[in-house]
Amino acid sequence: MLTLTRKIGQKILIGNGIEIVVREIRGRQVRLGITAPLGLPVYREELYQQIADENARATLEISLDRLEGLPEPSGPPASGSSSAPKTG
Amino acid sequence: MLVDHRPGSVFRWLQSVEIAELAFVVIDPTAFTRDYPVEQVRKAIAFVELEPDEEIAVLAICTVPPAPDEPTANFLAPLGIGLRSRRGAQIVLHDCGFDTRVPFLRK
Repeated sequence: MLTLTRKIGQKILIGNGIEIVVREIRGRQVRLGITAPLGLPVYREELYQQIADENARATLEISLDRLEGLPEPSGPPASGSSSAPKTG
Repeated sequence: MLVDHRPGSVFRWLQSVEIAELAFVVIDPTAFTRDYPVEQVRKAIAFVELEPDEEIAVLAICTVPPAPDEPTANFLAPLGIGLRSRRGAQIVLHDCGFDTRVPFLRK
């Protein structure tokens, strides 16, 4: 593996269209800015795996009985956070 | 192809045309959460080259396990599909605070 040392603000260019810049170093965390061509997906590695696993799970685990029995909400919650409705 | 589970249902089936056994249960996340970033989805799927001003469907893939497990929807990585061109992609909404397993049903 190619290993390069960079300072804050310095960049790495990959091919013609990919640019990675070190934006911030905070303790054990590094913030990177990534510029890539439209259509070239950029993922956090663990997120990529999580999404692939969830897609696989969604096709395997469809309970038709459950689908029939589910209530069918009529609209978005009237107020609240940007996340899903909280239970309870 | 996209098929209603039954008329009026919030659930739809995204059915593979090529592989008959492959289908996802999907919902429209905007029906379940306010301020879902539809515009961000539109930008993220720009590479599939939608027609100008083409309307898109945003769909979240559901996991519907047997009871008592809660059905969940993947709000983190929705699908965006152009309604005219029928082209689309699954994309990741980075840093939006959504998860792949959102229990979307209201109690």
